[in-house]
Amino acid sequence: MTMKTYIKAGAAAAIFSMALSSCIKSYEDYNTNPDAVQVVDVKSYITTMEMDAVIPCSDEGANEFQRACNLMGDSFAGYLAPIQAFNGGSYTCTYDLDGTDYNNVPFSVAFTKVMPAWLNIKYAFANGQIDEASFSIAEVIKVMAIQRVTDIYGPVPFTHFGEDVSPYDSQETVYKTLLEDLNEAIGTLKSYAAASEGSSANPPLYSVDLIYQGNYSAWLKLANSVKLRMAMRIRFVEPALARQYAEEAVADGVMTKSTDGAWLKSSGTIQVFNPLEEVWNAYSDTRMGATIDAYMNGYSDPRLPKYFKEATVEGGGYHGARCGLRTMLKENYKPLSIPNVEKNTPVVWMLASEVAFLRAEGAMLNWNMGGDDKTLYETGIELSFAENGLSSSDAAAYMNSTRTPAAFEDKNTSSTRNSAGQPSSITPKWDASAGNETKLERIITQKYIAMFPNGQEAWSEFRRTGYPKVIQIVNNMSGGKVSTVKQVRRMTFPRSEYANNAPAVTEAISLLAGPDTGDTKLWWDKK
Amino acid sequence: MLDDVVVTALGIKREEKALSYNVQKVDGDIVNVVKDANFVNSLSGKIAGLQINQSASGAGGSTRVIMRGVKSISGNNNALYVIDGIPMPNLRSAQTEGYYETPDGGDFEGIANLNPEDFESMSILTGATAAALYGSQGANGVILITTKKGQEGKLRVNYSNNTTFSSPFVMPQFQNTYGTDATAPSMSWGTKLETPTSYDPADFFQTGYNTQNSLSVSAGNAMNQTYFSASSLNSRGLIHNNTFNRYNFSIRNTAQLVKDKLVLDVSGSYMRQYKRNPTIQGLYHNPLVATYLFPRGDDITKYQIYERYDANAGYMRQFWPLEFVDGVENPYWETNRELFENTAHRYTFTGTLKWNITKWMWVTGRARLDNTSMNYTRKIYASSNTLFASEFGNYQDNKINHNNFYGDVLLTIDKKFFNNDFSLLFNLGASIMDDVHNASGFEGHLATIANKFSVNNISMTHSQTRPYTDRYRDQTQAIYTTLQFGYKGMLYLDATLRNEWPSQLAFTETPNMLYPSVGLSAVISSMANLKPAGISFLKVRGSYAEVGNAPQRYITGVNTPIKTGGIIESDTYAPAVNLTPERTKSWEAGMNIKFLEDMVWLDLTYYNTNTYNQLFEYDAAPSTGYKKAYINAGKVNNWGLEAALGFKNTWNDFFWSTQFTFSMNKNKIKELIPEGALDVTGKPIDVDEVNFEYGGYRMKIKEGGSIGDFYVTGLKTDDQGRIYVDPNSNTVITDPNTWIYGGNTEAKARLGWNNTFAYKGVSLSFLIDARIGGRGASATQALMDRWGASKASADARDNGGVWISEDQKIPDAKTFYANNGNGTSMLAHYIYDMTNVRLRELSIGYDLPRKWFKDKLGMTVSLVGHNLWMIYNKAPFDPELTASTGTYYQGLDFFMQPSTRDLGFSVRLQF
Repeated sequence: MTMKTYIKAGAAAAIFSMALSSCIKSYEDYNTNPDAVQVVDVKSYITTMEMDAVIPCSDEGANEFQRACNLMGDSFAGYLAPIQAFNGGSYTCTYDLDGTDYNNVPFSVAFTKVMPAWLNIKYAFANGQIDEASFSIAEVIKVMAIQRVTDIYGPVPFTHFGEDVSPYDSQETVYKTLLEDLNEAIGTLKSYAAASEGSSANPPLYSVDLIYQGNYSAWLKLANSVKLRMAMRIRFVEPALARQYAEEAVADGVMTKSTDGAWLKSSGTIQVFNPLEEVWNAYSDTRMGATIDAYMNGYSDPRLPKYFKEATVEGGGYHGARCGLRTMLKENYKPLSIPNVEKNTPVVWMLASEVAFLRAEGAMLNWNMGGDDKTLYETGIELSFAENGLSSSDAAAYMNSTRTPAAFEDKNTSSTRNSAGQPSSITPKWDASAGNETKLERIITQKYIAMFPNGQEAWSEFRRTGYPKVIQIVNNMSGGKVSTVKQVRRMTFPRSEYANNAPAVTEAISLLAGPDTGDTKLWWDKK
Repeated sequence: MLDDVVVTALGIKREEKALSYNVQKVDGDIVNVVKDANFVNSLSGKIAGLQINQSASGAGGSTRVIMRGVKSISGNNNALYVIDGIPMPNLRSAQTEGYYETPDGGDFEGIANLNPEDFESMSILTGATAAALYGSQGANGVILITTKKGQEGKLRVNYSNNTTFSSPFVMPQFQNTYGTDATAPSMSWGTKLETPTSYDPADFFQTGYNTQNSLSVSAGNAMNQTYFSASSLNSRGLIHNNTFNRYNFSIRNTAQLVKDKLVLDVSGSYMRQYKRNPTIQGLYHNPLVATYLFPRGDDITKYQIYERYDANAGYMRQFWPLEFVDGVENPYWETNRELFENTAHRYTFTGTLKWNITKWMWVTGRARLDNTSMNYTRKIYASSNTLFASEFGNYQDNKINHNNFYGDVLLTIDKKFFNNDFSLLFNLGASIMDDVHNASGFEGHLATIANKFSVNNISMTHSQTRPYTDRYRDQTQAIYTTLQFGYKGMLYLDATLRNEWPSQLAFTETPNMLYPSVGLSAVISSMANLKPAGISFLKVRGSYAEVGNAPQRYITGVNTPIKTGGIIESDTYAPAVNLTPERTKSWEAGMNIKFLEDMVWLDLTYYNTNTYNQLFEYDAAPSTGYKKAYINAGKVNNWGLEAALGFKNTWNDFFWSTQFTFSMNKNKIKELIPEGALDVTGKPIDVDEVNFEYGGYRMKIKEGGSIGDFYVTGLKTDDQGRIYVDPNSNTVITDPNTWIYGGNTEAKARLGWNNTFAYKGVSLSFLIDARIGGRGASATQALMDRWGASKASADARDNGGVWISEDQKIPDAKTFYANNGNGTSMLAHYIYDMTNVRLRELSIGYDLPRKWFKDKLGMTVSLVGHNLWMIYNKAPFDPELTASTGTYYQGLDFFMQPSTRDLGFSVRLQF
């Protein structure tokens, strides 16, 4: 080789080394997603929790809400009825509880959306990134989320959540742990509420808390109200504990004003859409339920136009549908009453009227509820009217009414009618001479009307007390696993848990009072 | 005899006999006789070891190209395309997987943009050794394309026209003897009709066409050559309003700047593409659902005028009183008033400068810019189902920009020593590949003005209003070297080494991947005289290679997702800083043998690959504060055979060539996460299986299984495993919690038989190919049964019930089929063998004698056909079609658009 060749080779090598000295420093920039968050403000997990804790609202669309609420509690309680025979008629509302994978949804919302966000807050609290009051608010939200999910399935893997092994707990353990957590949160909130009294400064959670903008005393009232609700739920299985917790809650201060209620709604720059609007409107999948139709029409309830829109059938009026039809054509049911819920309608978590009815039930049992049963019952009606923008004089007239529920008249436009008789003869007017069972039916019936559209809670109270008398489903596709008369008592464990966590879920069945069907009663379902 | 030269990785030209791995070289013409809008489809059956599944999205759809089996559980398994030595960017769009909303006008793949008339030749590198120099991109095999250059000499002009007409190829079997019952007006469960209805779902389809015009011009002298081409492709699909148009222009100039020293090759191309309504399958926006299920007692012509003026609304309203599954609409409305459109512009500039330092040493530098901009829109007209639109409609407008840059330098030394007994080929190179992807868009329900498809008319207070964003930048830098020693043209030793830095490994401890390959090729026929045995050529070869595969982007750092509206998701992933790239270790051995003066040849390859360090997601120990984490583990094995047997001879004026190709592949998941594997907190990691679920259809990855295994649900059985029939009601019930193995969607083997006969200017060629094995499921059949629209449902009624086993009959067919629910509840009864044999291609051509045109013109006319005859197929759909070009969502037919039978002609002119 000549010298010249070597020089040329050298030049070529120089070009190479330039290429080799290429720089990969910007790789860390390249491999960082510009549309994701690298440093999360832990407080914003409060928003994340709230979006799904009670009613699943974070879903694009409303598929989670539809499966976890609309086709479960809302329908089981007779508030709303599906107008499509899902999955060829084999689905939750025909009691074929595992005919679809809907039974995954309440579980996955609680344990893959709400609880992981809570865990982040818990660790942030342990590391001193947020104060104990903020953590207490997260605890209250957690309690509400878990109470709903245990009321759906019974045993859930809760007490060891966030640990390496998290087996299912019995519902008793879940309830008792939740109540302890709630007590601790109430203690903290009490002192923060007192300390912040009169202060005009925005609390730390002001911009992330869509319920109360971080207001401690409002959270304290909600926490006590939830405690009262849970105490009442266990009164047939743990009467002494129920009384103790209920009296403590009332003494510590529950919601009393119509404006005290908890609603999830748009706040600041964060927007919340009510998923029920999507389900009746875009999906056109739900209409008024037969049970609430029978009760409210029978009572000529002034809240009817607040809750529903008139049906577009001949003669107008408010008309619903029965649940659990295995075949139906949507077109025949579409003209029935739609819930009066728009995109920006606040999502109900808990109302002061419900609290008054809970106190009325306690007072009926001679618990110290800060009032007698009649007064608290009537306060409940008055609060509910106020919550719906109706006057106290309307309420006064209503609470003296002796009207009874009507028979359910099916107004769908097909030739097949599934009408039903009068479910009950209970009147709104209080009767002090009536026995406790009648009083209970009256209280729960009015509470049922007041709580609309919180179907999950209404279904739980129906199971606990047997009231109101929910109209039975039309077609039972459970293959004998769920009784039409007793009605559905729980949801089967998620299909996804059988597929992915079989040993744990098999273990969980032993914590139930029977097989994993919709017929097996939960721990508090003892009446 | 001159040795054949093939183009190998990086555009390096090599003698075929020196290669230690399997390379199959074909002429560009192979894809230009029976043309497809996406030329990749025309390779089907012609190359051993190449598995091609066409998307069911009609003309111009993307393809799933798998070589030597599916290797990666979570990564990409599609082949890499390389043009003139430069890898193409992966422009494949992510497809929706799931059977609700699959139709996707966004289906796009860069390779479908190319004009195959520009191809000079192609080399298919099925194995990892061949592809080792491309690094992670080449792990799944490479299709190398060499494009045409200008030729020295007089001006040459070529023109061709290729026009085909298409009709549906495989459809399910329908019934037309039972009508409709008033209580279920959408179903066909009524009484037997006096005269069978004339309704035939096949009438819904129109005759599709595809016409391609191509022109190319080549001219040049010894110092400068130029090539120019232009082509157009216009097609319409089987389904009304499905259109695909493409226009390509390219120009290339090759010039010797300094004679024999400096060669500059520059080229540029522009492509424009428009696609409308490429329905794949699924429930929504798919006109086939209503067409197939249409109640046999009803009259379809009523619905063909699909809209009626609504004076109140002020627009034409959809006419459709029938109800199937929610969301299924008037099929004519769906094709005309739900428009999915995609317009793409793509341009490339390429420059190559070659400097011949000496006769045996040169440096090549290459750069290419490849930019694509796309606009995808979806217009849903007012009065469509409220699932998709407000009363005013719905609009989506996405803009996607992809900018790709590739640059490399390569030093080559090619020298012979010691009386040419020894040869040395050495390469040293470096490359950079940079991809910037920037996509954004907006979608939502329209606010006030019906059918005004503008983002200004999108409601800002609706939960269905959302922005779309997808942004990333990937970069890979690499250095590589190859070394080859040859001895007397009979023994070659080959070695390569590549070190690569992909940006996806940023934040990890080892930001690079290093991988080697070695190979040996021995030409026995040059060592010993095998002529007496009739062997004219014999080569044996063996090689070993390792190739890495970078993980997906954004998983090595903290990237917490946010939802529309700024809500933080609780879906958190631990930064995978301890990740190592997936690694495929592969070896192959083979032989090439030619007999009887090269009249007969046989190529045989055996390969075995193990892919390690598969990426798995698992539930992180909660104390880490993350919900999920990643781990590398597991091993997937693929082994198989590729064989080609050919014969070619000329007897006076008669020429015949024939070639059999055969390939088989066996895939096995040897290991997922080994027992005892611990995460960062010391907690054992437990991932027994990974499931990809689509309703009652599930693809499962587990140890001992194979990729492509699927499971379905069926009917409840008793303790003896017999289907449980309720003795009182004589009905069955479904069992959603028991998953039954349905089969594996991948083929066991593929065969092709290609023939060409020529006699005095007349040529005839045909290709028969077969796929052996693999199973799939059909929800189409299930739903047709449920609605009483299938032949099976009519047969059941004629026979007084459905036989569910040899001695179990359910008398009430309607109730039995109702168990199908929304299509996937009872798929265990709808499993089909996907084995099929077809006459894939046929062409008859005639070269008109040049003297007819005073030697000024050459002209070839041909009759061409594609998918002319399905010789064997038991499935109610074409098993070679796919709903997804990804790894999963295979083998499930959910009203898939049928493949086409095409018949047409082509004319080629040479001036």
